[in-house]
Amino acid sequence: MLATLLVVGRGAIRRGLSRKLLKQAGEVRGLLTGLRERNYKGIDKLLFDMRDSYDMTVIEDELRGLLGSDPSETGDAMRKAFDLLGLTERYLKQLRSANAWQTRARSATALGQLADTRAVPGLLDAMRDTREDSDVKLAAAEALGHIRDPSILPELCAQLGNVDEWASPRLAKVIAGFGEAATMPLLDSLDAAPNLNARIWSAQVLGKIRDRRATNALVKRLNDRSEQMRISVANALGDIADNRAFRPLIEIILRDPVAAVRSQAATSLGRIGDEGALPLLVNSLGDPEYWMRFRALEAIEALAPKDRSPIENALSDSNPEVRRRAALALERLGALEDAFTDLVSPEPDKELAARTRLIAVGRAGLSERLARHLDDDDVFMRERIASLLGPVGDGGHAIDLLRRLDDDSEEVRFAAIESLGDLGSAVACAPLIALLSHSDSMHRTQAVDALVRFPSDVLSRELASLVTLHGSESDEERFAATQVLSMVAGAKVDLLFRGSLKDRYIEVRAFAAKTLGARGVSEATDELGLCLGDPEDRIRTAAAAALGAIGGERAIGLLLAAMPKTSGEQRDSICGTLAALGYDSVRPLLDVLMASTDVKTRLGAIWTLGKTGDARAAKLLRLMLHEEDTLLRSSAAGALGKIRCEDSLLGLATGLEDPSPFVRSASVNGLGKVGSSAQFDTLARVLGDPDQFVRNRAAIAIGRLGGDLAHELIIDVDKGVLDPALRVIALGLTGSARGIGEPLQAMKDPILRHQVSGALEKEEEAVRVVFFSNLRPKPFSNEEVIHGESGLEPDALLEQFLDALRNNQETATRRRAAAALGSMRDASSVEALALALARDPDTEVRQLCAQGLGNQSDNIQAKGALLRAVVDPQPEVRMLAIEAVGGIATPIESKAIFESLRSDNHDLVSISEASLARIFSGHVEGIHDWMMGQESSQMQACGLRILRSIGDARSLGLIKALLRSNDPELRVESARALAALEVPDAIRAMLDALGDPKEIVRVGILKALAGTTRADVIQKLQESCFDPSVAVRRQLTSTLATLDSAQAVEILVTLADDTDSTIAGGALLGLLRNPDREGQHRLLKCLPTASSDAKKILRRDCLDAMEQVAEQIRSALDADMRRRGVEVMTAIDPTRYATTIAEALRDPDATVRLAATVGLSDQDPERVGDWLRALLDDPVGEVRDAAKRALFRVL
Amino acid sequence: MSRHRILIVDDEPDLLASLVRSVKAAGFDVSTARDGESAIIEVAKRAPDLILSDVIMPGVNGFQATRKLKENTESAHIPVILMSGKVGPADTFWAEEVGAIALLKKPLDPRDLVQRIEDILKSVGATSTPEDEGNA
Repeated sequence: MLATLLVVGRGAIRRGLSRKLLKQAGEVRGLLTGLRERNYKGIDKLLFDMRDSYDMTVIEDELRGLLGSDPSETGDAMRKAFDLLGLTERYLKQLRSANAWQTRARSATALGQLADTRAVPGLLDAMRDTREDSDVKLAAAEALGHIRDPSILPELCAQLGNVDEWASPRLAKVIAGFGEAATMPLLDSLDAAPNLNARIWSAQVLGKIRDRRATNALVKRLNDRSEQMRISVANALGDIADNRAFRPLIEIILRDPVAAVRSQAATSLGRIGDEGALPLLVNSLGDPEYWMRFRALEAIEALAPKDRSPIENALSDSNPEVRRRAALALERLGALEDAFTDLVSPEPDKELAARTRLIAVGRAGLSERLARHLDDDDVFMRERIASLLGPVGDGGHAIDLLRRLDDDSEEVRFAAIESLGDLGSAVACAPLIALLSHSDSMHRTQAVDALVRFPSDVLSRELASLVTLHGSESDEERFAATQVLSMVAGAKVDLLFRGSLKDRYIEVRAFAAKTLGARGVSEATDELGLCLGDPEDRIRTAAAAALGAIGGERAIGLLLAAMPKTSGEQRDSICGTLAALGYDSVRPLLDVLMASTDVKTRLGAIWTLGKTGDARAAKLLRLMLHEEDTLLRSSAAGALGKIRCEDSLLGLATGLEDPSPFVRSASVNGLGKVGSSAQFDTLARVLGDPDQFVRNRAAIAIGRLGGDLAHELIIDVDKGVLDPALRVIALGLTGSARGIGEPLQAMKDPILRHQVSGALEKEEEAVRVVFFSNLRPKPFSNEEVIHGESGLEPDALLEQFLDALRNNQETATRRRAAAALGSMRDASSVEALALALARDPDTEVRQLCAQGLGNQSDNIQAKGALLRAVVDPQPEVRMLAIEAVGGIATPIESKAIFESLRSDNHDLVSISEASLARIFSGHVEGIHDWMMGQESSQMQACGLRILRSIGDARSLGLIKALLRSNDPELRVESARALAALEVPDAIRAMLDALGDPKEIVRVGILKALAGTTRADVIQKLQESCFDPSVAVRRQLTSTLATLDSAQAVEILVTLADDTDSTIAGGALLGLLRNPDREGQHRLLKCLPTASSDAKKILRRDCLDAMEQVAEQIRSALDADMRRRGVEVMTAIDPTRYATTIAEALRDPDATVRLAATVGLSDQDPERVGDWLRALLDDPVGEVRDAAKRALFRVL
Repeated sequence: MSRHRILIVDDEPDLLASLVRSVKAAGFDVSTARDGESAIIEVAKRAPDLILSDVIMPGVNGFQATRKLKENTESAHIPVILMSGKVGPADTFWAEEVGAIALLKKPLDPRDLVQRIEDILKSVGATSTPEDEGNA
């Protein structure tokens, strides 16, 4: 453009120089203009005629004047005209060879206007020529852009490969000017250009062209090795904004190792504008590279999401640029306006959220934006903005806030004062000090609160005015000044405070004492000591605390000396102070406290020890549980409750035995605080204490220890034993989700609720917090709700659990809600439980819902939900549902349960069978029909097990028929089912089946016959002694072991001679186990001749039976049985059972003692020597002799 | 060999005199102090073989005095018997804690007291007893 102007300008000058030429120019212009309307048709003839009459320069100038900036307007006729006059040829030559830069530039411009492709090489050459004049290069670039002939594109694209900071971007612009015509050559270049630079430029230009055909090729390049390439491609994809690039860009954000690439991808995603990118972009706000987070914010802003919380969260980003960017984004999205609106909302939640957001925005750098609203017409707006400028923390706004000290609204003034305190700006110091003399106490108080937050050095500058106020006649002014002065360092101020200890105003004295302590002014020790005798308890307490803080021998001595006259509060303060010194420092102080018989002084020792929390203090406290004074003992128990150690627990257990209920209750309280589940047994015993107060405290202590076991213990206590309100509190304290139901239900009774609230008020705050937290789906610590009944509203509590179950994202919270609602057994929770059972993604939540609904299975909605859950994908849930519906479903509703029988899960099948047995009890024909419709023997076996559970004689025919089934497994199940029918026909059929060819069936029948008492059956069993199968004979020994029959014992004796040692051993074991008293007798007879292998088997497998024998020795009424037991043990393994045998040495019956003596006679002397010696004084001579003999043998 | 010397500490003059009489009668040399602080000074001047001290006294009490004596290597070996009107398990424990060899409950039976003093002196390996002196 510049070159064109130059050329045109120079022509004009020249024309000016020659009127002749000027005249010619006018004529030529007129002629040429006349041709324009005919599209320059005939221009060649006209020029030919002109050559003789007009100067060639004039003709050229006028012709060029007709060339427009848009080459498309230059017709072929015009181009021909330039050719005809040889001008084009000249321009081509001059472009690279003219000496004057103006000529070269003029040529480039003309060639561009003519759009002559022959000029392309020359123009490119000019562009690349580092020595070429910049105007010429610019003219060449513009010319190339004008030519816009697609045929030159490959060449132009190839030129992108040359690194040239000046030319490359211009060339790129030229190519981009071709629009979509350039897409294919650029794609070729992108794909095949040998030069990375060319490829990068190609990607960038493709982006500018915005042709969606380039998307796929660009996406491929997202994985290029060059990060610069990937950045360019990501950028280009953002320019094109084709949705197909969405996923690949997401991949880049997730995987690309280079932050710059990721951030470009994030930006591009924002430009594509697909909201699907939001989650990932939000995720990218946690990227370690701040730049990435910055770009992600930009992209999120571009998507303008409804949910602005991710941007709001970014307001607290660690990087200030990111924070500021987030604030800007919020402003641009209009979020700030919303926040300003919400800030004056009457809804507290909205206001708080807006306040938080605006503070963050202010801290991010947009505080000015907030401060503008200080002049708002709305008084609420002014007040709230004033109050948040303090937390924003920009000291520059102190002046704005000072202006508001004159606001008409008191609230605005107070908010401004408070914020000025936050800012601590020097400029506000004097104006706030002036407010200390304000007639209104609230203003003074606000000003004090603000000033005490000022830096000490800022306040020091106003010391003179503060000292003046400190000497004021007004009590309030002195008090205000004293408070502010407490923040000013220096001996001068210390001196002022020492003087203030004698002030007439109690507040000033108390504050001075407190401050002197906090500042550690040891020079004030004696003055503070005098204050220990102040008539006001507050002053004494403050002085005690101050002396403790100052420390030193003198101060501590004064404190100890004051102990006998202390009030509870003062003692608490002194003891806290002493305890803070640590146990090692407390020990010598105890020399003073322990040397006193004064109760208050000894209480001081106890309290101090407790407050140390040191395990070494526990021993002395334990001993103090023996003090004569009840108050001292209960205090000692209370102190032990502050120390978590073994000694404490022992001491507290001792305290439970104290005759005073005060001491017992203090001990119980202590166990609740420092105990663990190991104390459950002890505390459970206290639930039976004769004093109800102690019992109640025990319940609370158990509750505090928490857990399901605690819940069980409290639930088990009869309701009248505990105060109803404390029982509810104790249950709530356990935190057992399954136990929440009862407290929640209890809250429905308004009288009880009131009592609970009252009882809670008397508990420690820790107890209240735990109780209220446990009664909610999630822990909380809302002070407001801890006090009063408002936190116990049953509907509100229930609603919280319902809401948590329906909507909470945290699985643990939903589980807790499901357990709580389930244990409530309240109809209002059925719907939520049913919904969660059907839809919750967490298996445990569904399990808990199934359990909970099972508790209300009489509710039709609960039943429906459970029946639907029978087909839950998780067997754990199905099992619970099936178990629950077992008692309520009708046969017609049991189809899905039958389907569960096909499961591979053994437990599920067992539960389904049990459930079906309950459903079809009384409708056994339903099972028959189902079984007969089953082809699979596995299903029929299930049916047989169900029939066995039902035990209905009407099944006899079917089961007998199945006993003849081809499938041995079915025959076994049939036999077992028959055993359950207990009708003669059934037993007969079983005995007949003992001849079954299959060993497994015979074993199964024998197993099923265990425990029978029928003589004919036992008779029949004798035949099985000769069964060829070892397995059958082994089962026979087991079955016989269960039969209380002399006949069974005889059969076992026969089997004890079996050639197979496992059977012989099993028979010996059978004799040992057999309930018939002859069994052991016969065993003793068999053992001497039994094979060693059989005996080994007996010893190996007899452990559980020997426990029974031991019990027999200890507690059988019949001495023969006791003696028999000793003999059996002696015969089987006297070494192993020596201790038990030795117990029999003290048996009242001499024959038993004798047997035991014999039993121990071959044992290790070290072990049995002393036992036997004890018998040397036995009253029965035979026993004494046996003992002597035994001793002789063992020694 | 000289007789054992007992330092008796009590702020109650009558009681102090009574104790002095009883202990002297048993053949011991006796010195006295009226409070813990004086006792410590007395011990520093001339170490006794045993100290018999009241617990509750103005200024430095019996516990404090015993702790100080036990902290000093020069006097740490001297057995200290404390006396108090209140002797519970906690008091006994604390007496041991400060280093006393015993805490006796007031009022004391003179014969028991002397017996206790003799036993303690024997157990700590004293080389002579009043009886020895007497027999000699």
